[in-house]
Amino acid sequence: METLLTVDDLKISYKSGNYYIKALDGVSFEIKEGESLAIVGESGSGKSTLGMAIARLLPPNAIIEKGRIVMKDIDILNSKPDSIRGKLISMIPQEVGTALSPFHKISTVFEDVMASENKATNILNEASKILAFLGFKDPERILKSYPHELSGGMLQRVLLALAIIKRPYLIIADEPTSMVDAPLRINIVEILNAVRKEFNISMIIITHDIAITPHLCDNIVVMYAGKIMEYGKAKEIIDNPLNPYTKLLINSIPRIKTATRFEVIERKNTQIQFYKGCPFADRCESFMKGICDITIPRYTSLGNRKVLCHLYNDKK
Amino acid sequence: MIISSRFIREYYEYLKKDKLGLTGAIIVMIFIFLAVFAPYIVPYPADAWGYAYNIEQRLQPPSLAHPFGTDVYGRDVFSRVILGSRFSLIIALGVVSIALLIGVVLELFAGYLGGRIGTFFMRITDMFLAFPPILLALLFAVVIGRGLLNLIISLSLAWWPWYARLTYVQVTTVKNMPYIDAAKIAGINTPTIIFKYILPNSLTPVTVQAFLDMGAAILEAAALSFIGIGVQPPNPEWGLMISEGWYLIGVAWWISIFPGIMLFLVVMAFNFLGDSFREFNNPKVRRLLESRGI
Repeated sequence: METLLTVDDLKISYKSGNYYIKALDGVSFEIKEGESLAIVGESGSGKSTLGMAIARLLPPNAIIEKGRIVMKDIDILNSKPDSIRGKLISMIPQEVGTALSPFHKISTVFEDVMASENKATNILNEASKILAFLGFKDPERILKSYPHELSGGMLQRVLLALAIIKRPYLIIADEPTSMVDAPLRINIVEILNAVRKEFNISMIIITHDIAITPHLCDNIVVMYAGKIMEYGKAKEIIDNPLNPYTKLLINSIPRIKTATRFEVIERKNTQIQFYKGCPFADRCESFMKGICDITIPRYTSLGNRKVLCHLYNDKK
Repeated sequence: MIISSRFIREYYEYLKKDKLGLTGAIIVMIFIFLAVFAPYIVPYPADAWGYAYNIEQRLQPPSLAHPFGTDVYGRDVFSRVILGSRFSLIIALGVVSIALLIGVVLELFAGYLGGRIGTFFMRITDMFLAFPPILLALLFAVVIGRGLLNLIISLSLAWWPWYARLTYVQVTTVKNMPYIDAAKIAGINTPTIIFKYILPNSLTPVTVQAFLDMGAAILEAAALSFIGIGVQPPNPEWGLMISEGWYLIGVAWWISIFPGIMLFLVVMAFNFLGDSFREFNNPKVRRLLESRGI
C-alpha cells in the first residue's frame, strides 16, 4: 500500500502571554492508504493539537516551530486551507450538539458543502444515498430537519455523512465515542468500519478510550506530553504493552467482572516543558534514578513497533 | 434565517400569553395602519399636510367637528396628529435600518478578521460611543442641514455604534463555535460561512435591540424637531407640533397635549413589544415554551 500521509518531526507550541507551552515535541508517523490509526493519550497530551494541525484548524496562538505534514505530495502546512478541507481531509468534530448551525436545515448544509462541486450531480440524492448507507431509514426526513430535532447519535452520523460526501482521502474523528452511551459505541465503531471499507477512506481516530481501538484501528500511536511513547499494531500493543505509560493506560480500562485495583500516580510537575529527562519519569513505576530523570530516551524499533523508553534503549 | 414562518407563529403564540406585549403589539399595529392610510382617512387632509389656513377657526377647543381642537393657524389638530404617525414611522424604520446596516456590516468583517483590523474598527466605534447619541445627532443635523432625510441620516450616524458593539461581541463568539469549525473543515467556502452561517447566528441580540430602539428613535427625532433642527413646518411631526403649541399651553393646551399623548403611547407600545421580544428570545423562556408544547 502507498503512503498517504507523512508527519515529520512536528513541533508545535502555544503562546500564552509571554510563555510558550509545548504541545507537540517532535512527532513523526505515517499512514498508509485505507489504514486506520488511533491516537491515544490523556488530556493535554497533544492528540487534539495533532488532529487540528493536520486539518489546518489550529487556533491563532499556535506556532508551528518545525516539521512537515505531507499528503499525496501536497505540503499541508503551506497550502491554502480551502484547497485541503473537505476534498483531501475532513473531520468529525467532538461536540456533535453544537457542530451544526441551529438556523439551517441539514439539506442546506449539504448544498453549501457541495457548492463548489460539479453541479450536474444531484446533491440531495447523493446525500440521501450516503445517509441511507449510514443506517437512516428515512433520509429524506433527516434532510428536512433542523439540528435540534435530531438526537446526538443521529447528529454524529449526519456529520459523518457531511465529512465523506466529498470523498476525502482521510477523515479525522475527534473522540467519536465520548458523547454516546455504551451500546451506541459499538454501533459507531461498526459504522466507521463500514465507511472505511466502502469508500476506502483512511482514518485518524483521536480518543482517550483505548478499549475501542482494537475494533476500529490497525495501528495505535500512544502520546504523552507531546511525544509518541509507543507506536505499533493495535492488537500487539493491547496484548503486550512495552512502554510503562501504555501499560498504565491499558490497566486503566474498567472491567466489570474483575475489578482490579490499580494505582494512578499523579503528575507532580504539571508544566511539561520543564522536564529534563523522560516526560513520564515522575509517574513511571519502572523509574530508574540517574537515567530517566536526566537523559531523554531514544526511540527503539522492535519489529513493527517503536517505543520511547529507557527500558529498551539498553536492550539493543 | 430569523424571519421564518415558524418563528412568527411561535412568537404569536407567545404574545397571546404576554398581556403587556400584546397591548404593545396592538398599539403598534394601529400606529402602522394609521401611518400607511393617514391621508385617506383623516377628516381634513389639507389641514393635515399644513397647506390650509383657516384663521377664523384658530385656537378652537376640542369639539365634534374638531375632536382635538384647532391650532394657531386654524388647522385641525386631529388630522395633523394622525398624519404625524407617518413621519414617526418613517423616522423609526429609517434610523434603525440604516444604523443596523452600517453597524452590522462593518463589525461583521471587523469581528471575523479580528486582530489589528478588528481593534481599529472597535476603537472608531468607541469614539462614537463616548458621546450621547442625541448630542452627536444634533451636531450632524447642524452640519448637514435640516429636513426629514437629513434628520434620519444624522440620527443613524449617531446610532450605529450601539449595534456595532453588539454585533462585534456576537461575531467574535460565533466565529469560534464548533459549527463554524465544522463548516470550514467540511469544505464550505469563506464568503458562505461569513454571510450564511456567522451572520444569522449573530443577529439575534441586535434585532432585539433594534426592536427596543424603535421607540427611542421616534422620541429623539421628536426632540430634534422640537428644538427646530428636524422636520420643518408645515409638516405635522409630533415633536414639531408640541413645539408649535407649547408657548400657548395656558390658552390652548390641546395643541401640544394630543401629539404628546400619541408620542407617549407609541413609544410605550414599542418598548412593551421590544421587551416581550427580548423575553421571547431568551433561551430559558424559549425552552419553557417548548416544554409546554408550543
